[in-house]
Amino acid sequence: MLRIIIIKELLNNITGLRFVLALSISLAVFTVGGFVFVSRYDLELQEFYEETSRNLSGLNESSMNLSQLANHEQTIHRNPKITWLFCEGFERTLPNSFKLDVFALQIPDVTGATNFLLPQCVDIDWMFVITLILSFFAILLTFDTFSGERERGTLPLSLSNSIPRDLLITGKYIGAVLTLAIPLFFGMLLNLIIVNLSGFQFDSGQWQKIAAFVTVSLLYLSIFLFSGMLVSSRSSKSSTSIVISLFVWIVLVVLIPATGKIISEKFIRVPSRTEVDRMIHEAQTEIWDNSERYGKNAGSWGSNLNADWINPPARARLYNALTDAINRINEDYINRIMEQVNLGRRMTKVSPAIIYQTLSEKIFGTGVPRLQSMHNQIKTYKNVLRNFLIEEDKKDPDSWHLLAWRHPIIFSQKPVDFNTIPKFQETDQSVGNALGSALWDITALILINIFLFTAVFVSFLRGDVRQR
Amino acid sequence: MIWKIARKELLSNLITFRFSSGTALFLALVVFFTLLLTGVYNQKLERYNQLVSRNNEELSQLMTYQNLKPTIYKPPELLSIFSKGVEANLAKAAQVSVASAPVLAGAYTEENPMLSVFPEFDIVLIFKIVISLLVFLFIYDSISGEKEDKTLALMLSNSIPKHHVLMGKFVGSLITIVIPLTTGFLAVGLILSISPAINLTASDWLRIILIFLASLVMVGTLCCFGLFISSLTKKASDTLIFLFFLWSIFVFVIPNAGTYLANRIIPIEPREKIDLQAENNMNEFRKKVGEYMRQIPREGYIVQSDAQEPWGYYHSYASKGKIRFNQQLYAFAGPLEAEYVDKEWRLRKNYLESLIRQKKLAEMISRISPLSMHEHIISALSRSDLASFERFYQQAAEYRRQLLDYLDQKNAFSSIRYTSSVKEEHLFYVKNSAEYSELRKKYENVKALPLNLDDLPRFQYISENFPDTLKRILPGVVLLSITGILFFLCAFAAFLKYDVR
Repeated sequence: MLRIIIIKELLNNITGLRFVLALSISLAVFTVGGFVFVSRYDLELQEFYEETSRNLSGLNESSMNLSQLANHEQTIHRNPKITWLFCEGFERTLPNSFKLDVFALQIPDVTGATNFLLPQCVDIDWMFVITLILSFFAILLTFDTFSGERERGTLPLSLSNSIPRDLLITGKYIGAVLTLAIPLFFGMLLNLIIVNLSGFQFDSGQWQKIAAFVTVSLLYLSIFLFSGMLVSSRSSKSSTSIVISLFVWIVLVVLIPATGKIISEKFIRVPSRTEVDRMIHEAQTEIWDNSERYGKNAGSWGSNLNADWINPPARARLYNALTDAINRINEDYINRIMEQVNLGRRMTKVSPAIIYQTLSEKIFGTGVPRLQSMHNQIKTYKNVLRNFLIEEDKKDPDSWHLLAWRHPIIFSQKPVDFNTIPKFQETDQSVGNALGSALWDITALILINIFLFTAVFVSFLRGDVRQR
Repeated sequence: MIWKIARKELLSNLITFRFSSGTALFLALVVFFTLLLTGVYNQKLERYNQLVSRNNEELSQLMTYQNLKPTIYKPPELLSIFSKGVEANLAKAAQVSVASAPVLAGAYTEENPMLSVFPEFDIVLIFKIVISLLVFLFIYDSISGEKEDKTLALMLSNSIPKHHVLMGKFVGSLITIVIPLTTGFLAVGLILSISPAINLTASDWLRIILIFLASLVMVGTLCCFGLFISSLTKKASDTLIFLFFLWSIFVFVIPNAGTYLANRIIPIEPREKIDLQAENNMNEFRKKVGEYMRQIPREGYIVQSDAQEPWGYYHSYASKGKIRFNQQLYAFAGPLEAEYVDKEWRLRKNYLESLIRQKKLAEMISRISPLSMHEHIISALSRSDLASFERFYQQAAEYRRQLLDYLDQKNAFSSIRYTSSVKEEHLFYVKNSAEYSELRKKYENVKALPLNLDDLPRFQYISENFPDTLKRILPGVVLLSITGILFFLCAFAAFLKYDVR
C-alpha cells in the first residue's frame, strides 16, 4: 500500500507545473553555478599562486640574514578551495590575507579585487540553491498535501479504505522527498559534470564530504516538507495553507537570518579599526613612559652595543613588551569580531537555514569556521617559526641571542638554508573531525525533523478529513 | 463601474485569511524591527556623540600643529532604518590632516568584516519580501481565479468593457494592499515620533512621506505585473506558481546577477596595486625630504626632546639647533607633503571611480527587477546610498583644504609650534649630556601649554537637501511608474485576448 501511495504522490507531483518550474530553475541555477565556479576558480587559484610565490621569494631573500628573516613580514593568503562549489561560506567577502612576522600577527584583511561598494553577492553554490530555492519549492510542493485533497474531496475517499493514517503520511512524505530529490540530484549531477569536464577532480575525502552534505541537505529540505504538511493538515483550504506556509518560509529562511547582524551588533560592541590603532598607540605610550621598568636605559639605543648608556637585554624586553601589547590588542579584537559573528549565528539558529549553513561550512571547512581555524594555525606557525629562529641563532657564537622587533643587530646575522625554514601550510579537517564538530547541528536538524513528523502525525490524526 | 468592481474586489479580499494574516505579520514585523532598529540607531547616535566630544577634547589638549589630525564623523542616519544602502560597507569617520586626505576608497576597514555573512536588515527588506508576496497573494486569482469560478464569463456577459474590469481589479487590489502598507507606515511614524532620543525634522517627514509614495508606486507596479500573469494563465494555482517563480527571480536572482555581471564586465584592479602606487608616491616625497634634510645645517648637541613623537610628550625646553632645523625642514616638507597627499588622493579617487562605475552597472542591471528599483529610491531618500557617502568624503576633502589654509594663515609649517611646544626663550644650545641632564632638572616642573585653536574651522556635516534628493530619485520613480504602466498595458492586451470561458 505504501508503495502505491508513494507512486501516486510522485506521479501526481511530477506532472504538475510546480515540478516543471522547480526542475527547470534548479537545473538552470546548478548549470550557471558550475560555469561561474569554473571561470572564477582558475583565476583565483592563479592569483593565489602569484601571491604565495611572492611571499616565498620574500622569505627566500630574507633567509640571507637570520635577523632580517625575523623581521620579514609575510603575507599569507587564503587559498581558494574546490569545495567552494558546494559551500563558499561567504569567503569572498571575509578577510583573506594575514600579515605576520615572528613578533606580531596583524588583523586579517580583505585584499584583492573586491568592490566594497557592491552589495554582498550570494554565490551560486549548492548551499544557496538548497537553502533558498529548493526549500521554497519544498513548501510549494507540500502546502496542499492534505488541504488540497480535502478541497477536492479525495481525502475522505482515500481514508474510507483501510489505509492507516500513518501510512498515508509516510507515503505522501516519501513521495514529496522523491519529487524534490529529482531536481536536487539532477542539478547536482549536471553541476558535477560541468566541473568534471573542466578538469576538476575530487579526492575520496571530498567525496565523503559531498555524501555527508547531501544527507544533511535532505534533512534540511525535509523540514520544509514537514512544515508544509503540518500547515496543510491544519488548514481546510489550500489558499490558507499556502499563505501560512509562505510566511513560515519567509520568517525561517529570510527574516531570522537577516536579524543576525542587528542582534550581534546590539549585544557585542566591536571597536573600529581606528579605535584599535588608538589602543595600540596608548599601550605603546604607556610602555615607553615606563621604559625603565624593563631595565636601566631600555629607552636608549645606538649602534655601539657596548656603550654604558645602552642595555640590549632591557631594550629587547621593552620591544618584546611592545609587540606583546600589539598581539594582545589584535588578538582581543579578533576574538571580539569572532564572538560577534558567532553570537549572531547562535541567536539565529532558531532558523534551520542558519543551522544548515553553519553545518555545511563545518563539513567543507569554509566560511567563518575556516577563518577561525586558519587564524589559529597561523598563530601556531608564528611560534614554530620563532622557535626555529631561536634555535638557529643559538648556533651563532657572535650573536647577542636577543630576539627583538626592529633590532637586527642583537640577533644572529648568519644566513639560513631556505629549505629548512618552516613554511605555512593550511591543514584541512578530516571528514570525521568535521562531522564531529557539526554533531550538535546535525542533532538539531534530526530533532526538528522528528518533532515536525510527530506534529504532522498528531495533527492529521486529530484533524477532520472532510471538507469544512 | 470601475469603482463597483474595485469595491467588490476590495471586500472579497478583506474577508480573506490571507489579508488578516498578511496584515498581521507585516505589522508585527514592521513594529518589532522598527523598535529594534531605532534602538540600534540610538546606540550609534550615543557613540557618535561620544566620539565627537572625545575628538574636541583631544583638540583642546593639542600641543603642536604637526599633531593636528582631527577625526571627523558622519552622523548616523535615522532614516537608514528604512534602507541600509551602503552604510554598512563604509566608514563613517575620517582622519583629516596634512599627511592624510580622507578618501572613500580607503574607508572600508572600519566595521567587523565578519558580519558580511549576514544579510542587511532594514524595513525595505520587509517590503521586498513580505509586501511583494502579499501583492501577489491578493492579485494572483483576479482573472484566472474568476475564470475558474466561472464568474468572469458571467461578468463579461454584461456590457462591462474589459478595461473597466481590469482597472477595477487593479484599484481593488491596490487599495487592499494600501491598508497594511499605510498602517505600517503610521506605526513607524508613531514609534519614531514618540522615541525620546529622536528628533525628526520637516525634511525627514517629507522623506518618509516620499518613501511611502514610492512604495505605493512599487506596489502598483507589482499589482499590474500580477494582473498580467493572471491574464496569461487559465488556472489560479498556475498563476500563483508562476508568480512565486518570478518573485524568486526578482528578489534573489536579478540583484545577484547584477553584481556578478558587473564584476565580469568591468573588472577592477586589486586594491594592493593602488596601495603600492600610493606607497611609491609617498616614498618619492620622503626621498625629496631626505635630500633637503642633508642640506640643512644642524647645530649643537641634539636634545632628546620628544616633542616630535606622534603620541606627544611635550617638554618645555629643547635643543635650539634641532628646533631651527625642524622649522626649516617643515617649512619645506609640510606644504610638499600636502601636495603629495593630494596626489595620492587623486590616485585613490581614480580607483574609487572604477569601483563606482562597477557599482552603477550592477545597479543598472538590477533595475530589471522593480523591487531593486524601489530599493535604490528608498536608499537615496534614506540618505544611505553611495551619493550620501560621496558627499561626506567631498566635505571631508573640503575640510582638509580649510585646515591647510588655516595652517598656512598661521605660518604653522615654519613655526616653532609645528613640532614643539617649547617657548622661544626655552631653546638652548647644549654641548653634552651633562648639560642636558642639568637642563632636564631645571625645567622639570615647567608645563607646556596647549595650542589655542579657538579659530580652527570645525567640521559640520551637511546632509543633502530635500530638493536635491528629489531630483536624484525622480528618474527612478518615473522608470518604476513606466514599468507599472507597461505591465498594465500588457495585462490589458493579454486580457483582451483572454478566453473567459
